Amino acid sequence: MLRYLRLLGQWALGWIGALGRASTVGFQSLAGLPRRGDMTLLLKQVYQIGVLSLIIIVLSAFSIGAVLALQGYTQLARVGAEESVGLGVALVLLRELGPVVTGLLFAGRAGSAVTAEIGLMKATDQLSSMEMMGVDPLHRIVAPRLWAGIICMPLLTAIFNSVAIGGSAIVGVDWLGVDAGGFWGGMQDGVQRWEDIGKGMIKSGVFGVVISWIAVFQGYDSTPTAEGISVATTKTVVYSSVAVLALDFILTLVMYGDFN
Amino acid sequence: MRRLFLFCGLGVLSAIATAAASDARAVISQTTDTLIGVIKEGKTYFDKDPQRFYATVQNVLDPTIDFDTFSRGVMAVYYKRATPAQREQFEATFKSGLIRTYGKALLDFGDEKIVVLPAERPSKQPDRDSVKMEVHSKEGKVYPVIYSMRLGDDGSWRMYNIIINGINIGLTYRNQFASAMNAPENKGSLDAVINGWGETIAHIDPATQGTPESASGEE
Amino acid sequence: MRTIEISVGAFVLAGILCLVFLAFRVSGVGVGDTSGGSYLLNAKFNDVAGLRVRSKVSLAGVTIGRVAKIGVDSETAEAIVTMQVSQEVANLPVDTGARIQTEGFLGGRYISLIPGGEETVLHNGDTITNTQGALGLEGLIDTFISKMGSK
Repeated sequence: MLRYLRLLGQWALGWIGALGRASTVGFQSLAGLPRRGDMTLLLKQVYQIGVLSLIIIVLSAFSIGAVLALQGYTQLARVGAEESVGLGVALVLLRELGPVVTGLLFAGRAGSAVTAEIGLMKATDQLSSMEMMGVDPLHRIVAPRLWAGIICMPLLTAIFNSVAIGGSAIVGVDWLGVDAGGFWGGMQDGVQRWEDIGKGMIKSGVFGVVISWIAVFQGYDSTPTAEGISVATTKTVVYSSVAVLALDFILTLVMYGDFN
Repeated sequence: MRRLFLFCGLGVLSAIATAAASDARAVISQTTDTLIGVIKEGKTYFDKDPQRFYATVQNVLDPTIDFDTFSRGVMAVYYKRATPAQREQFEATFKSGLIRTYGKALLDFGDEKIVVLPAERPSKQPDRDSVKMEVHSKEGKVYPVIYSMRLGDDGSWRMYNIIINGINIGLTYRNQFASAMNAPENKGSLDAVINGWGETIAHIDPATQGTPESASGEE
Repeated sequence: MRTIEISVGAFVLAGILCLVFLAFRVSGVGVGDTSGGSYLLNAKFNDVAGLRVRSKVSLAGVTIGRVAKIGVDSETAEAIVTMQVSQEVANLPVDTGARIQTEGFLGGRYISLIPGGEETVLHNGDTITNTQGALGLEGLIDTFISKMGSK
């Protein structure tokens, strides 16, 4: 009995310790003025994290937009409101699916890659060599990846939303025959810049920070073995996904609080 | 709803009967009382001489409703395009149309209670006022009626719009007129619409103009 | 390295273009977006159930403004709605009507302006008194039933 309590305590303390280390890593990476050569590092990371994620983002966006249009059309047709499919799809994407799905895909593709990379550097002693040479690995390795993640998420979300809406338009207007004027007009009438687009982009920004932070920390904190890297990568994906979904719920409550 | 519309017509007719009251509310009050009397009497001779009843009603109507303002409100944007002759014809058609459509049903009025509510606060404008009335039907339902009154140059208050149970009758007719002007069979001709106005009144029921089907149909 | 620079630039550009697309083609002309400026009109209603701030204001079916504010006149127990109307619709007669209607079957409420026939026009800050408020479903059912009953 006591043994279980002790294990629980150890686990909880371990968690709090990890949070502490994560905060240290986070702040120390972000602090410090940018130096020459930092832009090149950042650029490379934006490429690795952002550009290379485009394929999965675009493909998923198109599919999701198309499916939303299909399903939405069927249900709305029952009450004769097919023209609202544009508005419905746009609102769902901009407010919820866009930031969340992009976040999940981002965590799975870019987040895990970042964790693996940093973890491997740790396991092969590259990080410690850097320290010995007087180069701060937090500044050189971790910070660019962290900033790149924060920058890429909103951009990827915007691209995701646009492609998804485009996909839904192709399915709705060209395939299912919804009137183009009604489709786009209804959407423009009902979508609000700040309420829907703005708040959705805030969500994606928050997700970007959280996912990048988790990815970077898990890599930096990993056990320097092959198994350690694998565990860290898995943790990144799992923690990021849970965090995205939980934060989405909280942010939705806070931002769209008045549900009357 | 038709009956309700009548009750308000009652109020209107009453307003007419005692035209020169200086207080708008008094006008409605007195007129309602007078009109109830007219109807009671009308029930006795209507079968033999309906025209007499309609004529009495029309005579009572003429001085108390501000038909100029009312018609102008119904013709709305088309008022400017109409010649004085057309405007006069419209007023005449409107009046006789209303009497023909709702006149007979006035006789259905029994002992429903009519309460003219006291003014809650003085009107902000010196020449405008609104009077609230309640019609208590036999089933116990209460229908609110609001008369929009206007003080004419001759010092008497006249009604220029009615809101029955939340439905703005002037606006309803305004929409009907606009629909008629846009209807393909009338080809945008003021004369065609004015000539057919009596028929139009007979066929629309203000109560249905608020329902979803007719609302979207008017759009 | 050059490919990396170009592709990152293209990526960021694509992202920004998408944001522009979302801002202008997905969300539409809102209040304050009308190029000609706008002016304020008030309207008093007995019931504004279902109307919200940013509900649209339309004339002959065209959106010409938005609801800017919904308040209450405690003296008369009426709702006062402040609308921001496009300057392009400037010469509305003083007896213009304002009706609260429902968009289609499931849609939200909006205000429909129906111009009147008076000579004098409404100016910035004037109040429309010729109004009709939101007709609740129960009220319509009541009216329908009493209509059936009287026939």
